[in-house]
Amino acid sequence: MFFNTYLFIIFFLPIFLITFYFSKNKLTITIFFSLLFYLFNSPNYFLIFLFLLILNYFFSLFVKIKLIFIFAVISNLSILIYFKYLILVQNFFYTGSIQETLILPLGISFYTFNNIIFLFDCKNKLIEKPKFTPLLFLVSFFPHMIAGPFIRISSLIHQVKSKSYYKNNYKNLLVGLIIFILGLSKKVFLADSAKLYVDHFFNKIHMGLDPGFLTSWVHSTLFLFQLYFDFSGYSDMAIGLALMCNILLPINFDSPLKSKSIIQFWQRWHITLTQIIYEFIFFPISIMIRKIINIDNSFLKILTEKFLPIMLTFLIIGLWHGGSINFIIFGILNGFLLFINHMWRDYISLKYLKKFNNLQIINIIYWILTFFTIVICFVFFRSENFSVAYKIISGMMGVYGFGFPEELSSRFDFLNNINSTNRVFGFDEKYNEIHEILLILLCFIISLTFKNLNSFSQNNYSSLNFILIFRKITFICLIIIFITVVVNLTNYTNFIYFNF
Amino acid sequence: MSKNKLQELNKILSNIFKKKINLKMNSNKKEVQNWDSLADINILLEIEKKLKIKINYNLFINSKKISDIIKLINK
Repeated sequence: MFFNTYLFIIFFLPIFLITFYFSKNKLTITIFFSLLFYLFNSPNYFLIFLFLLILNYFFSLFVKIKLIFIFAVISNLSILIYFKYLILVQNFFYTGSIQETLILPLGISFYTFNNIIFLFDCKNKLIEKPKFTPLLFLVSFFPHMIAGPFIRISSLIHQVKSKSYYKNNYKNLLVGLIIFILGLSKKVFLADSAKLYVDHFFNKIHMGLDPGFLTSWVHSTLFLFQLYFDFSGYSDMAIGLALMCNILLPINFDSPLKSKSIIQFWQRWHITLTQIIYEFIFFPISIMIRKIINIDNSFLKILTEKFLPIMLTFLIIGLWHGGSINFIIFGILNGFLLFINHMWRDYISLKYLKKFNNLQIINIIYWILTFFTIVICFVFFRSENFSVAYKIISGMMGVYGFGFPEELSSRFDFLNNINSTNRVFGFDEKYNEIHEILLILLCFIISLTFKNLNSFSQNNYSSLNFILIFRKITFICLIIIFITVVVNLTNYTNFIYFNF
Repeated sequence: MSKNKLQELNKILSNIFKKKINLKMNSNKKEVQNWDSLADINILLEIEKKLKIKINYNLFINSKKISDIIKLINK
């Protein structure tokens, strides 16, 4: 019963909203429905989820004792490592192959992080007296419990304590509904449509097909769009649902595909996780390295102050996604690119190219370089194993021919010599070529030209009031989109980030 | 007391960013160009070294205003 199912949209959500809006005890109602949501989606692990919550509450009471604090953090991490990696390794020895047949406790990475952050906040006295109910609300709150966005408990307590939380705010309900429907449309129309072609392409490569240059780029780019619309769609739905019950969640994506550098990309992609990784991993690692190693040599200084912390942090980000070699390469590759980007910015761009940085053409070159580098990185993220990723990257380099459309290569002889037999779009006879071309164009247009939630969220989404002015038109459009989305829900697909 | 600390902080920031910086109590971190995650580390270490104090880095990262940083220094 996830956000994109009939059960959630037709039964769970309306029943929850009616109860929420007619009840005075809104907090209890939200917690009750959140626990119900988890119980329904992950019944086998519900008790583990509750046990960890209670355990962390008790830890929080003694968090001032350093030894208990360290033990508490290690315990949380150990449970996460056990479920995410050790069982995979055991499976490997048992079946001979690492297959993620095991169902992970739903949202374990996210709620473990939430529990650990809660302990840190208690230790740093950001929460004066740890209480069980706010922790239960933070970790179980169903809009964000499975895949974020992360929110700090202090911000949540502040919102729940305010009078506005207990008032029925129908503007919040309507704006939240609009954001939810837009997120759902991203998932159903764009991510799920892209999934059709992406899955087919990656399966073919897995079965041994050699991909041509163009088809490799087209499908790898389409995967980046699939992931972006899938995850940002989910985040929008979470933000919309939370707003319907008077809670403001932070935004998680700020048009990352418009980025003109890798630094910018990671500042705009999965923002709440990046902030947490920065605060709890990158920062302490950097401080520790600086305090231990004190070197005057400028080259070694760059290595210890920038290269080492960035690489270690991204290695952890890679491992957080999973234990396979592809995720490790994904992390290392991104870390290395980020380091190169920092070097370029600090030692070349800001020193010698300052005059040119505002030129439109330079920005376009930066965007092209950033976009297609990210496309390459995410090939490792999607591929089943290293050999599939290697084959696609080889295809992207033109190792298996260029794959120009047949109509073109039959007219120009020289193209035949470097051509591969793969189709570029559609990839297979049964998939619609025109549909795929239109889809990829639409993804480019939406991700590069449309405004995102960030531009509306600055002032509690009050800038979305303009939508409310045209109530009738908004209402009609919303109903049309909603009906179309609901009709398309028959082909249910899971959210990619539920696997992490 | 806080005024002195503010002056010292401005001195440290000017040294790190290699330009004259004159922030006020209600100024925001964002007002300083290039005050990014890597700069955060340099600033924290430099404050600890110059003022011979220890600052909680979680609180330092989460402080957005200069007044928040001064509060941490005064703790």
